[in-house]
Amino acid sequence: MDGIPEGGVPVDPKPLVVQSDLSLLLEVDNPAFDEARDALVGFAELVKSPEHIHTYRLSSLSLWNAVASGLSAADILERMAHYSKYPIPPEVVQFVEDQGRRFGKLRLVPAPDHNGFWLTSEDKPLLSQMGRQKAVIPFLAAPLHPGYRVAPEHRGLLKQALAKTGWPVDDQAGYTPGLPLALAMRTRTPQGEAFELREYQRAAVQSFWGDGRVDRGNGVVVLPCGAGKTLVGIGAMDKAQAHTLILTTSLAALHQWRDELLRRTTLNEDQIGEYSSKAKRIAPVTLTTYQLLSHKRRGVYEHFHVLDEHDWGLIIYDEVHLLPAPIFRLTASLQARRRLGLTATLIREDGRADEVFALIGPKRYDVPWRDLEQQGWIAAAHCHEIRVRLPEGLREYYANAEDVERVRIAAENPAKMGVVTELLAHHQSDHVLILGQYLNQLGEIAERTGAPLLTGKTPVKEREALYDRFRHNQIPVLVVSKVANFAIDLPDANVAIQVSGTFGSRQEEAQRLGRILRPKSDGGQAIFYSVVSEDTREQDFAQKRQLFLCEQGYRYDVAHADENGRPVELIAPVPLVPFRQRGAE
Amino acid sequence: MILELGPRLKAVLDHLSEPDLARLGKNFHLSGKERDRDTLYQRLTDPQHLHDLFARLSAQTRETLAGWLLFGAVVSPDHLHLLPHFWQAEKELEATGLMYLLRSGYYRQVYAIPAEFCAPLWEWLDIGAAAGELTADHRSERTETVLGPWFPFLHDVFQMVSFARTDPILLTQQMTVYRRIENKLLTRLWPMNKDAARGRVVHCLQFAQAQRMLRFDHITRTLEVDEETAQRYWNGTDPERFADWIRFGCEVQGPTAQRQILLALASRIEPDQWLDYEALSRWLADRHIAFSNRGAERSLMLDRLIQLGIWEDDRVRGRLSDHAYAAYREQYLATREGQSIVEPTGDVLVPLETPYAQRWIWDILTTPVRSDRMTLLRIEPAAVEKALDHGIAAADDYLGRVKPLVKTPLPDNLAANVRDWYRQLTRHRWVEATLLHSANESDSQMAEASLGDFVIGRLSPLDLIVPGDQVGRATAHLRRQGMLLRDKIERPGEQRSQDQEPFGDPFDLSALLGFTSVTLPQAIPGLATKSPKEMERILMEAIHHQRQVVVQYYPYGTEQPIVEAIQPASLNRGWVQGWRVSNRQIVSMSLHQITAIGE
Repeated sequence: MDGIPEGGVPVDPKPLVVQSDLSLLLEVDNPAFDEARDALVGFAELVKSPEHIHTYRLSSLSLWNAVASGLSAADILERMAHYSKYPIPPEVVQFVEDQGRRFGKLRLVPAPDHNGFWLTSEDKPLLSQMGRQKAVIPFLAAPLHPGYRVAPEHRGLLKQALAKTGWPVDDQAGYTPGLPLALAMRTRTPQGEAFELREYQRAAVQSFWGDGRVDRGNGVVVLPCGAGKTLVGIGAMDKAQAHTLILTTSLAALHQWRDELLRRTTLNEDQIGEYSSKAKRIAPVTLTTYQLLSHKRRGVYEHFHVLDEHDWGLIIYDEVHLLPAPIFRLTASLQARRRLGLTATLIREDGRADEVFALIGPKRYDVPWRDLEQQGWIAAAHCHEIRVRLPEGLREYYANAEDVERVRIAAENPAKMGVVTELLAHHQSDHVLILGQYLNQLGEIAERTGAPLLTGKTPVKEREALYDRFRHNQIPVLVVSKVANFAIDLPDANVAIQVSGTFGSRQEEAQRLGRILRPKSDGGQAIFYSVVSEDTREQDFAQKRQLFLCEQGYRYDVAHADENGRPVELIAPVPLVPFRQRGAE
Repeated sequence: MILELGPRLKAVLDHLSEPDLARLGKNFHLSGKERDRDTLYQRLTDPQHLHDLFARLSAQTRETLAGWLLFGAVVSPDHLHLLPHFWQAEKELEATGLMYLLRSGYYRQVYAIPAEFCAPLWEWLDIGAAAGELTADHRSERTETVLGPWFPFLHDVFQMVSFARTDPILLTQQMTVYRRIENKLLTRLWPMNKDAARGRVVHCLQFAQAQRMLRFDHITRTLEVDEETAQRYWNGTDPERFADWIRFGCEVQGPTAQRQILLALASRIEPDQWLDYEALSRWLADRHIAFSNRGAERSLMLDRLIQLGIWEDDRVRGRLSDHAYAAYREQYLATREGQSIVEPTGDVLVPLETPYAQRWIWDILTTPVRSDRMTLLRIEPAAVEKALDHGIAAADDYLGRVKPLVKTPLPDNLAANVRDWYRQLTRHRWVEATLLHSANESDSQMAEASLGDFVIGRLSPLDLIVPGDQVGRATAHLRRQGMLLRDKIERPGEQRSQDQEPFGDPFDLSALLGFTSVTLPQAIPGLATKSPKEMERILMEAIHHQRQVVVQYYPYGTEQPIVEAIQPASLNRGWVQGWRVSNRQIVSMSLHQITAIGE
């Protein structure tokens, strides 16, 4: 056809693509990437950040939070249009305008007579609509014109129910300030090391705290392992200046928190209490474990009630993705207190991540792992997957086994030993963690390599001593079970060899990589090996496990090894038709 | 300019009488040799020639031509009185090749302007300028001002063809798509309301059939993809495909020409303007053209255009959709090759501007996840299965095809996975075959020789592999050669139809030894027992040099070997044919029948 511009109208070189399913795709290699990313974080959640295109998502929650922080629907649409390569789909425009209108219609404020709270609105039909919602009715007390009275213990559950109906409430009822606690962050640790929060840690604290008003003060901060989540918690405590309860995953993690508080803040030992199976002391800053808190005796969560009676101004949930189910319910009654969740991977294999958002609060801060790597705050990591053949005899055994058995046969493939031996020989001068799921396998590896074995059965004191010796380079290789998956700080570990894992757990894979991500004193790199049995279910699981890290921008190099751990080249056969051609000789 | 009115000039010239052809040629000063239809076509459609011709036309003839075009470029003698100055114009145009009288039978005739002249005439006469006076007061901004290749209608057509490529679309006796399949097709469409979506599926399938990308197989009652045509279609240019879309919207049911004129008028208004139906109706009525703004007539005129996403309408006014407006204004998004991105997770992101030719390749290399501005596909084991089904038999071939489609190199982990998936998927395969099982090796060899090309392989000494769909013909073939057998196919688990002795014969040698007779070997002086390979070599040499050989063999149906001199003529699939030297009779035997051979 005549008159067509040669080659057509060129594509706008902007970095953003707004999809009709409410996802926003941002091109990393585009010169306007940084600028666009900063514009998006105010109203969209980062979903994944693989190598080339980062995915953000618009959700009701992200838009309500944006509106709560002062952005209007028009601002949001304008920002998207400014960076968008193609026109914004009409359904997205409609969604943003609709959700933008919804927030703030319902308000939760202290009752005028100071007896509980008051759910109110200027939109009376909306109030009566809510009064007829099955999911909402149980949490409404008597009518209080215009609106309903709400009992303090139902505050969290009501907010959750209203959010589910698509009408979020603007909670203006405020937080209990808690008993005051004067604390400050040190500028130099007792060991003389200079200390201040890093920029992203300050940004995370700021996102959580805001201006201290009721629109903030709850939520989750997502940072990679080794990026200093504990310090973000300490930053939040510094803002709150109030009595704080810290929930951790294990006793070892609890002790690490205590040590960090003593190193980084002006708190002294008397001000930090341990409420655990070993000691039950409540202090202005009290550390406890999820396990203890969810312990039931005669049908009652006795420890929870003891702790709940104290007037905390802040509660910190360490590794919040591990929050056990009973704590969900208990947390719903803690809505009057400021709540901070910390995690590296907000993935729950039970799919309850949404409940974490609803009860602890929305995701306030997230940063791609590779961004921090590029800035040098976590070690640069290289991931490798080594696929090892099952020995001939075992292959037949595997073929005849039941499904459950197969998983275990593949995980405990004795041929992995050869690979481990080869890798250890290659990493003689490194600090190596060997991580696995099955104790028999780990026991055998420990025996064959002469490295100490640390499992759930190892007494706490012995565990801490082993960690300590590893940190001080007295033992170069440590064989650990899944007890070491979380919240253990082993700064100098730079090589991890994963010999088995929990099915396709993405979260476990990320946590295990996290063990070696703390920046190295010599600036060295971290190397993560995952050894899997070739052509078995374990190989499928491995691909699922790697998904989270690939979505964080990591790549896996894949290599094959024979049953002795030696590299092999595998070439796919290609004959298509096994028969001779018809008519041919 | 997309304006498809009138008959095609090529067709008109094909039917033009020789004297008229000569007359036209004379006008172009063509010598006798040059007066062929192709040369005339080139001369008549030459832009410079048209420009000069139009410039010479009188004002009255121009007025006639304008009215004629609005009639759809075709007018019957009954309506000639509606065209002012027609007879004068006829005189002016009679030998220009711009107008023709088309006859059908002895009583029907029409005057027509060929399609190739309509768009240039429309532009030259500036008919569309009138559109500016037919607009409504209401204005509204357009969302999209550029037409990307991946726009909803063509996207949907692509998805339907892509679906049929993997799963041919089964039709009911009433030639509709089965509901179960239709539901699957609906999930592949660009988001739209459910009621419209069912109609869209039908339109897309019709369109794909009209372009010959889908063809109906009467035996299987399925719509199947014609790979070659589809490939050619997707390799074409965007403007060609946009024109197909508009033509498809105008040409089916109802007033084709009026639709074309309506769209051409609407392409001339400002982007934010609308045509006012009342004003349009009046303007067309003044030119004796019917356009009813009401009821069924309006529906007949516009519904299809609306369904295909060409027109938007709000009862009292209407305009071209954003995409169609951009197409008419030739505002096409530049396509770019090799812009797709592959993440280490296996996700493939294909941007809007990717040409269809590349999408068509991606289609067999990936599984679809979500289609949108940025299309999400995935490289995973199922995608490799799909590639294998489409004949991409090797991992390197697969990776080689991905290479020109992507902006950044394929991540190493993914390449390793593709190789491993190929290795796993090609290790074991299901092969459907039908076996001809014979009672003994000799019978099987005989059957093999008799079946010839029906045999595609041998599974065991007793089993030949034949194609499942050839069993009937193969049976008949054997019967013609005197080998009786049933054509019933036994399946595993079915009871053997052969009657058997309930307890067996205690003296049945075949049960004990696997043979039916026993003989003593006979050593013949001068002959040696050789391996089949060696025998084959000796026979081939004898055939080549036309020499005789002496063989000891078991003739068919005997239990005693005989020794004969033969002149072998051919050795084919282990079967020797030749002449018996003693009586020049044809002899035929399998290598397995021969026990010894001497040169």
